[in-house]
Amino acid sequence: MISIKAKNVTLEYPVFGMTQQSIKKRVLNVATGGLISNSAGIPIVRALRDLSFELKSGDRLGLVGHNGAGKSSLLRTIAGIYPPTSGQLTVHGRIVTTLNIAVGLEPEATGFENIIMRGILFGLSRAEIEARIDDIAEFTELGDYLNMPVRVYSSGMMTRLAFGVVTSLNADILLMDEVIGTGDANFIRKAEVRLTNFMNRAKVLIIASHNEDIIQKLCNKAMLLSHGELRAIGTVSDIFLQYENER
Amino acid sequence: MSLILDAVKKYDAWLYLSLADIRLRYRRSALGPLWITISMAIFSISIGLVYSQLFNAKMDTYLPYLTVSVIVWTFIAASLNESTSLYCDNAPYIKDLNFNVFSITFRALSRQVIILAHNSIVILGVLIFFQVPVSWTIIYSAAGIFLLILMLVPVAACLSLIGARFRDIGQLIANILQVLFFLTPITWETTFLQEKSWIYIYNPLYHFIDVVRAPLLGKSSSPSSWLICCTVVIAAWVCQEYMFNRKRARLAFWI
Repeated sequence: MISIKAKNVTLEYPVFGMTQQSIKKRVLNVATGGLISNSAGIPIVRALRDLSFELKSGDRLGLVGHNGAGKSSLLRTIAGIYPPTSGQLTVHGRIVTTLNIAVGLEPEATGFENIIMRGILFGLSRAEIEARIDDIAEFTELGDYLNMPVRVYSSGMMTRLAFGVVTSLNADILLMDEVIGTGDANFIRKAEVRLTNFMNRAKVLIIASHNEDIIQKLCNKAMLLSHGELRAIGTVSDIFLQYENER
Repeated sequence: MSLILDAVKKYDAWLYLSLADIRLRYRRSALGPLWITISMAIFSISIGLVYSQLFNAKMDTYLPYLTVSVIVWTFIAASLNESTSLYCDNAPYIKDLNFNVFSITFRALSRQVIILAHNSIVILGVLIFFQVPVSWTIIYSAAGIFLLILMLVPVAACLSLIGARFRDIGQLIANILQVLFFLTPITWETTFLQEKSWIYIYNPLYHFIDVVRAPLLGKSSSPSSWLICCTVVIAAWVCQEYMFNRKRARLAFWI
């Protein structure tokens, strides 16, 4: 059963490399909100406070909130990258994140080699990659370019490759930080269809976005975050109403 | 432990990536990875010529000794040096993909093993050229390499974790290794010293090098060396388990 259960999840993390600023602050004696310091004097950010919610198969959740409200931190916590400082988080299902779809793109390797490497990085076995390499190659429309090193690609071509691989994955739980796309005008319809299929295959979708239209279109639930706190969870229109009022 | 086992199970992933790393590094060069072999041959022959004069040693025993020593040392030093910044260098893999950190360590170490394999061609050449008697005891050497890798995995993983938190570790380890190159019997033989000396006896790297080196040169390393190596391996794994159980979860915050 695919599910996500969060109970009183709090996330605090240290920020290193801030010494200069913190010394300055100590001198100026400036009080900062959201920042607390531990005994060693390392600034700690409280990114999530006491979050409790449950998601199950069929849920499409939009994360709404200002920059720094905790949207990305929440995605990383659900993905298992950040361990919660306190509280319980139980996640059942295979997670795919699209936080950075171009990780480890090798400029010297050919398009085909990069497809294989990207597949490996996203956790596919060699057999699984071989099975979908034709589909990915066809989607990218890169043709003979796939035998050339990626360093000769335009940025649009590189995005197509990365996009093509990640959207071939099968996720139970799909975590997206802003909608991914190819930004290629002629390509946009095709990419949209593929993206929709990719998202539809996922049992649970969580998407952080500043774009109201996207969340209206893709989600059946929304969560409003503010300074790391869960302000409300409910229907998309209710949440946006509240978001507007609080703004 | 489950992370390590998971990474071991997915051996085809990091093996493919490390092979690709080597292939890509030499893709546009005519000689390709053969350069690894050539540079090592040039390096060991040239310092062999100088040092054999310096130490007044016989070329036909000293050069094979030196070649094997330098190659094993290079393997150790490169693995450890690379490890200190490994998790920082691979930050996007850890922070954006949640990629298994041990797969990252295995990828780096298997790259070094591939380089070692290229370098061992030089050893083969030198052994044949100087007609060093080789017997079946050479198999001990393979066991030695295995022990060495078994030691490098936990040590490199720990250094990567510490190196992610404390950025001075890279410089510190690089300096220690530079000094150890001269303090460990690599360019000099233990027989050059008058008596058994604390200079090398207490240096675990001497024992790790010797269990690989001695069988290749038709000698055998002392049982105490094997014992020390096994002890160090066990200690390293215990440390690794302890450290990763306590701190691995924090890694994403450090990089």
